[in-house]
Amino acid sequence: MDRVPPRVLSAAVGLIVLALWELLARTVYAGSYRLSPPTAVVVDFFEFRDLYLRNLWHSTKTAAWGFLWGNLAAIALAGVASIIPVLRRSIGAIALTIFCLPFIAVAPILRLITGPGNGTPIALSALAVVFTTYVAALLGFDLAPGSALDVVRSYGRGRFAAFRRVRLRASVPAMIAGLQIAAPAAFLGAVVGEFTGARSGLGILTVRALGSLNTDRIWVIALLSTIVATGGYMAIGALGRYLCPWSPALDLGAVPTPRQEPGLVNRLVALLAPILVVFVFWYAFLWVFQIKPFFAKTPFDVWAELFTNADAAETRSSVFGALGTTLWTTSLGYVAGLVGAMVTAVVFILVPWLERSLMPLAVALRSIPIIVTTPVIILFVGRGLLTTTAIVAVMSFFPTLVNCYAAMRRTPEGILDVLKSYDARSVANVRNAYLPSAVPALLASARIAVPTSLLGATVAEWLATGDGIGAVMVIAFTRNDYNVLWVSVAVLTLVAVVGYWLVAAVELRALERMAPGVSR
Amino acid sequence: MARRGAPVDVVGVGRTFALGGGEVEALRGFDMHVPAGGFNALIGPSGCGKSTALRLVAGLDVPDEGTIDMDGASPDQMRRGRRIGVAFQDPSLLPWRTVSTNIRLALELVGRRHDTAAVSDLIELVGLQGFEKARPAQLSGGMRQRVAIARSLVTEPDLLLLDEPFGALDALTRQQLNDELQRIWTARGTTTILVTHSIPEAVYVADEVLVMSPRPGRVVAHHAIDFERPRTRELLLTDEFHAKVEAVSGSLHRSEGQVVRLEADDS
Amino acid sequence: MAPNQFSRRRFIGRTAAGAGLILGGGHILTACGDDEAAAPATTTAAPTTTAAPTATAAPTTTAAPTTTAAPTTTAAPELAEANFQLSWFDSVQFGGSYIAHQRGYYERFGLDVSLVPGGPGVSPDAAVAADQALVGISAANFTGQSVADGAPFKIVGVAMQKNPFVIASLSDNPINEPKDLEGTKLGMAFNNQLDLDDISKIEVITSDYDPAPLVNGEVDSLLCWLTDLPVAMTVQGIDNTTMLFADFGYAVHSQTLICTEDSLANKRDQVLGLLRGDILGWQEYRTDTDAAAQLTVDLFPDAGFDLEAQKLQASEQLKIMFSADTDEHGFLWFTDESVQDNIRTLAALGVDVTADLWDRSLLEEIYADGPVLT
Repeated sequence: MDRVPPRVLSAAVGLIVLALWELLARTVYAGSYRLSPPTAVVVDFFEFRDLYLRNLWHSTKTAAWGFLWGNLAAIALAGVASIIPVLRRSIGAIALTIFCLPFIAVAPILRLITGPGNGTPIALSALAVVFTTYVAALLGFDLAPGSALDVVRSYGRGRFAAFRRVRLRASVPAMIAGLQIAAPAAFLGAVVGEFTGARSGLGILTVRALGSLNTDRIWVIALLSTIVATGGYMAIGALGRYLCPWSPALDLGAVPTPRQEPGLVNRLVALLAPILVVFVFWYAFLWVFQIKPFFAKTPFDVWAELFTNADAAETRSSVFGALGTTLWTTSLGYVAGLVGAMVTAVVFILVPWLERSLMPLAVALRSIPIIVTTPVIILFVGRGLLTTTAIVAVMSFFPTLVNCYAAMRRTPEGILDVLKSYDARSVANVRNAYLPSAVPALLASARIAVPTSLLGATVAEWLATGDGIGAVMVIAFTRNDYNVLWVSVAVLTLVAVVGYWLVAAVELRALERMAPGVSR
Repeated sequence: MARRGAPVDVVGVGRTFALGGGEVEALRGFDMHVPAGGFNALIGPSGCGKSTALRLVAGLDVPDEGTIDMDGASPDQMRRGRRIGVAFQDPSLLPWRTVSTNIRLALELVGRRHDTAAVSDLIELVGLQGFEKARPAQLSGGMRQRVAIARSLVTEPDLLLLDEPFGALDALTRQQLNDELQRIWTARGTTTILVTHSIPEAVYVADEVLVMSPRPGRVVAHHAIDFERPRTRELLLTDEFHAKVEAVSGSLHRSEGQVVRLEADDS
Repeated sequence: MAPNQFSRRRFIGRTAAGAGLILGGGHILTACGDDEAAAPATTTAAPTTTAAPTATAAPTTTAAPTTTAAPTTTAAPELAEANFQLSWFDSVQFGGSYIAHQRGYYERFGLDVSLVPGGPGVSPDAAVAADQALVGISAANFTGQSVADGAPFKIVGVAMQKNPFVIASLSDNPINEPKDLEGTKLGMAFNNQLDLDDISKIEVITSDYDPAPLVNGEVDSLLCWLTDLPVAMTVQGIDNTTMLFADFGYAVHSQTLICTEDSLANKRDQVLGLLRGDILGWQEYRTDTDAAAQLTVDLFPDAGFDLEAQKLQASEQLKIMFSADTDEHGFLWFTDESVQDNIRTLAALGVDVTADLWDRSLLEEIYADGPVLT
């Protein structure tokens, strides 16, 4: 098997999958309005080509604008954080908070600010990319060679000159890696944004197709979205190789969290400052956009709703009850996704031909917007709590797989040679070299997967299951209960941020234990 | 002292790699003989195939032509019999393991996980007492190399293969480790092949120094080194030592057909 | 408006968002179950022959330029801009408004109206409250809830006289009346949840708003609108049966036009104009629903509409939009009796409203000269 060229192998596996798909769709799932045979999908695409291309163009254009604005904002924030290090923690906290906001509840609130039109989809898709690009850009600025910075400093120039002349250029590879992740995220933001009232776009075309039993259309849209999101991912990768051919592709999955400063006071400041900043940001948001009090809830309103109002107990029990459901289903899927990804990465390492034929698929699937995967997942697992679990698992699986496999491939040759010189078995190689090598990547992926899993869970709850906090938010919004809406947003965002930092803390401890000095 | 270990016979070995679009011929007609319990040093210009030769002997790679025989066994059989110990310029320690568990790794791999006595013996032999619980990142470069050498020895191999294990170290540390290597070899009597850039290092520790030609590499000169053991640092100051170094250096220059400066830090 | 004007909501949990139904000894909504003339469920047989596409020639009327609508008022060149927030994505559900827009009926009354599509992420009530729309399309239960909390809305017109919610089932396993539901599985999108008194007799499955679970036999019936999923099934050739809630005493005005009290006081002319334009559009819609469907398909090419489905939806919709009351008083009209029925139904759902929620003064002014606007 090792002698077969990878492309032939991939093509062969692809053809087998397609044939199986066609067979299943024409037999077991015939007339189920769930699975369309590939041939029907192709026929439908060409029959309604103009329709699909117009809607695809609309969603892509929206995503492109969001991508542009979101990334510009992220890079500007990272620039400020790099030039004025004091602000770093606070800016980071705001970016992380934005990343942890539940889309489905934010969309209607944004709609109240931007009004009808394309504003909300663009804003949502911009928000979707801010955090990852911010992290990537800041990492890039930090990776600037110290000697080059010293040269600038030796001419008596300050931080700004160093930023402009050295850091900005040095950050290109990291930024490219960030933008790659941002492309599918922007697309997802745009599609969710369309639910706030649009006339065109793949998101509403999906909803329409679901309501009118147009199964072929759902599959065409799923495939088109995959192609566009993957295309964006690959195009940016190619751009990166063109712009900086000297640099290997950077793996953001393995970027460690910065170490905490020692000392109780420092830690307290480090903890409280970002919270304060987020609150200031919250008020500023309400004030800048002059949102009516009916919709706008302050931190104090949220506090009152949860703790001091007459029926606070009722609110607490319903919000936290639903949150419990969400956390339970989400963590199951989260763990399943991470474990599954590690196991698959090990299998890929041990069976290279399998990796060669399936990895391109995994890279592609990593970028599919969850909205289009949901109907497919329902097909296989039905509706219910398991749907959320499955969607979360799928969402955390693919990025983790790609990152962990890459990390395993980076296991130093010397270590593998040492193992080989003792004729070590596969199990020993995996246990002693591959698994430990992938732990940093696993933890970094696990950290990023906390907010994305909760995002996936709430979208799934909204679209498919009607359980958990996702449903509470949608019902609250439908009934104009902005108190409960803001409470849910605040609680869920807090949970995501705390989860992120918990995993980050584990990551830090693990890196210190496993590879002291690596974690800066 | 009891000599233990396998003799190594390499005859007419060639190895060519595919690289980019073309091919690189690393070795051609490479011959080498190491007696049981012998200590050979392999020296040659950069990129002459020294490391390739060592990897072939270690069974980590397979020659395109020629034979390698060790007491009737092929390198692959030796490797599968877990009779080989290797150490490279990069110590290749597992960063998540401590000094003693890194050394124990080799024992685990040969199925002697519980032989704690062997580990503590080796730690003592390489002078790392008190650092058992330290992790690689907390050690100096020289200490890491000692761990790597201890690991390569802990299974009591019949053949010890060292690929520039001290290449990245400063001159002082290097000399110190050369002394220890000699002491260990004397104590254990394992057949040893050392690949190095440094002529004085080769002359100081080995029984025989083999000089290789530029790529495709083959052995072009043999220098028997018959200084008494144990060799001490006073040897470095003697005229006989310098004469030997000059002689090896001469063959190396001739092998390249031109005068080159060696990367070694001494000359 | 100060936030403290809004009292707390009490509906978190499992109360109704879209519709309410009380099961008990076969009685539905005992609070207002005097509608003994409960109509039997309609069975819509799918046409055996799929409608020939050649028969769908676009009516020439749709192409009529707006200039045909000559302004009746002489000097009103300055048009006031106004947003009209629809309750869902574009479809022939709003066909009359599209006609009004296309024909310049709104302009005739001095308004430049933008029809703003809705969706799952849009609350028309919120859009109206946030002054993003002059008039919005909502439903009495939503608006009732908002008003019970002190939101300043009025219902100024009711487009769907009968509530559009149905229980849809397959014709070979039909649900014709409420007691047929016992022991079956009902699928509903969670934000359309019913409030069931005796939920143990029905197994409720949360589903997407999608007919596939019913077609695949995962559920025995679906809670949906008369005009969407059943239409989709019929177009796909799947025989289905619908049980209209309204026929069993569920009185909740739907597709209601709402505006704020502030607009009613200070922009009364604009609201009047919007209603008048809309009424003209819907009067025309009623005369030729196929033309309205064709117009919808033409206006929104990106939606990928199926013309047949839009036509069927357009004509089905007539059943709930027009009634003896509207014939007598005019489109959008609501009678005092229906208001009282709504109050009772909403009370059964836990929403306490008074007749103040409704304001008929605009309609009374519009229809001062008779039930047909010209």
